[in-house]
Amino acid sequence: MSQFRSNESVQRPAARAKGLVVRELDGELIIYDQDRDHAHCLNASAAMVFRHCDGKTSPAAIARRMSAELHASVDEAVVWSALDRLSKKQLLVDKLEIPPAITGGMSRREFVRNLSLTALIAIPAISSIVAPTAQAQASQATDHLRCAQIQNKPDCTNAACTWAGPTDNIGACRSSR
Amino acid sequence: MIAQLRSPDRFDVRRPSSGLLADTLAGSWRRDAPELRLSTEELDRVTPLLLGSGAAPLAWWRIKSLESLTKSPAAAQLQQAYRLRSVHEVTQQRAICMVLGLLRTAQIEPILAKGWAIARGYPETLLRPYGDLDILVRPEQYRSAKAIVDTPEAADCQVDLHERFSELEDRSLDELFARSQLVDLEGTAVRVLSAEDHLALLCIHFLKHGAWRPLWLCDIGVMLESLPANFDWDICLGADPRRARWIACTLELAHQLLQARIDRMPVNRRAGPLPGWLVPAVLKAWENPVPDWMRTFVALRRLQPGSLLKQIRGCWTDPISATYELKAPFNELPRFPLQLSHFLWRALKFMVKLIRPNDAAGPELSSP
Repeated sequence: MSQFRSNESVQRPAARAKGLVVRELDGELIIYDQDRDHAHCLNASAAMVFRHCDGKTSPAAIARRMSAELHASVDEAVVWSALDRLSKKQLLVDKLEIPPAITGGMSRREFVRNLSLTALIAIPAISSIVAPTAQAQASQATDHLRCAQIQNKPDCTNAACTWAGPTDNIGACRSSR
Repeated sequence: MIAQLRSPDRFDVRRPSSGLLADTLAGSWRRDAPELRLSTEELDRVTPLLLGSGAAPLAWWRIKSLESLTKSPAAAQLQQAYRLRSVHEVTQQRAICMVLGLLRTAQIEPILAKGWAIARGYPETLLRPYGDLDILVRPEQYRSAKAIVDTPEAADCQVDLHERFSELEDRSLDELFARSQLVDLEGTAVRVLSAEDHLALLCIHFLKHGAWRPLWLCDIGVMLESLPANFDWDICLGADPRRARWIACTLELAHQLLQARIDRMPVNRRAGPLPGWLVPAVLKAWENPVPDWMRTFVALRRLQPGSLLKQIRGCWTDPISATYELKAPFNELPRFPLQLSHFLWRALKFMVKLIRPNDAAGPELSSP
């Protein structure tokens, strides 16, 4: 894929810091968005892009830095693919969209497919982490009890509780979300 | 008896799920965990129990180097639980530091028990999920502490405040504080129970709640294998021979079911052969990730009129809880009389609740 020149004077992506809990784990980056109660898993490539989103570095410059760190050629399109995903997951301060100059007129799906064929590093991937179903099901018997305990409302009869189990320790009443 | 009738493995000729659970968790807290022989089908079967009991992160850590298992959908669920826990524990650790800071500002010195206090003994703290923050304060400071933890600032931290631990009623608060120690959490000094008191607490707590959560037995394994050099067994076991036997039996359970190394325990203090009913009772409890007493408790809160008989039947106690609640010894005598006595007590309390729903005594299923 040929190199496209991005509009460097406009795009300086900045990663959100406020409201995020970030943890590096086995080469991946786990991000919990406290504001939205969503958790995401970034693979190594996406994590690297995220770390470089300091609000001062353009996507082209991010690509150059990654190439130096990985000792492999990283196309700016790969960086834009990651930025697009990060933006859609609301992990960046400002919303971003892949410029037409990068996609070359392709649809987003075609663009990503082409990328997977030509990129020399793993395509940046961001997956949502959801509390496993069996865990949520096993905990349904304690939904209401647990929520009532957290809220200090032992007589609450709200049946809409959705506490997701032992790893869900959010304080606010879950039925109100 | 009733729990046995509900066993999903009654007609299953494969290895029981509870046995698979024990195998999966055996020695799992060690970096050099014992070899695990588990098929993907068996992992599928045991994963709901692991997820429901909070042992999923530990199980993932155990199997992540086994290529034969890690590609399965069940393993993916365990990995998701592991990932989720990694970020949730950050929030919880911040909460611990914040709550301790608030209490200390009010000149209240707290002791943190269970939860993070035991999680720090694991290779990674995220392997041991916890919900509440169990915090012990002196009785004379309890009201002030309660006012602090009920403030909006601390309300989200899920503090379970105690002025005593019923599991450690054989030792004074002064003793607990005198033997406690300070450990570091991200620059905050956290006061935790001594190893002797904490191990006793974990053992009794395990029995008190019918041994339903296998992770609690893992905690005991973790502690058993990291005892300080000057660990005092007299303090841990206490002066009461019955309680000492309770604790010794629990340690023996950790050894037999989860391969916890017990060589640091003097031979003459060990429990010896366990009563024949005990191991099956524990394995039976592990087959259900949500214990019967919790389902009953929720049902009592909701007081569903159409299922009265079912809820009364749900008051039937497991043999371990019945032994604990009635302060009975762990011996070979049948547990049925104890279970029957405790059942009648709980059923009576349930009926009282139905008749007088606004009774301040509430539906707490405490011992008679």
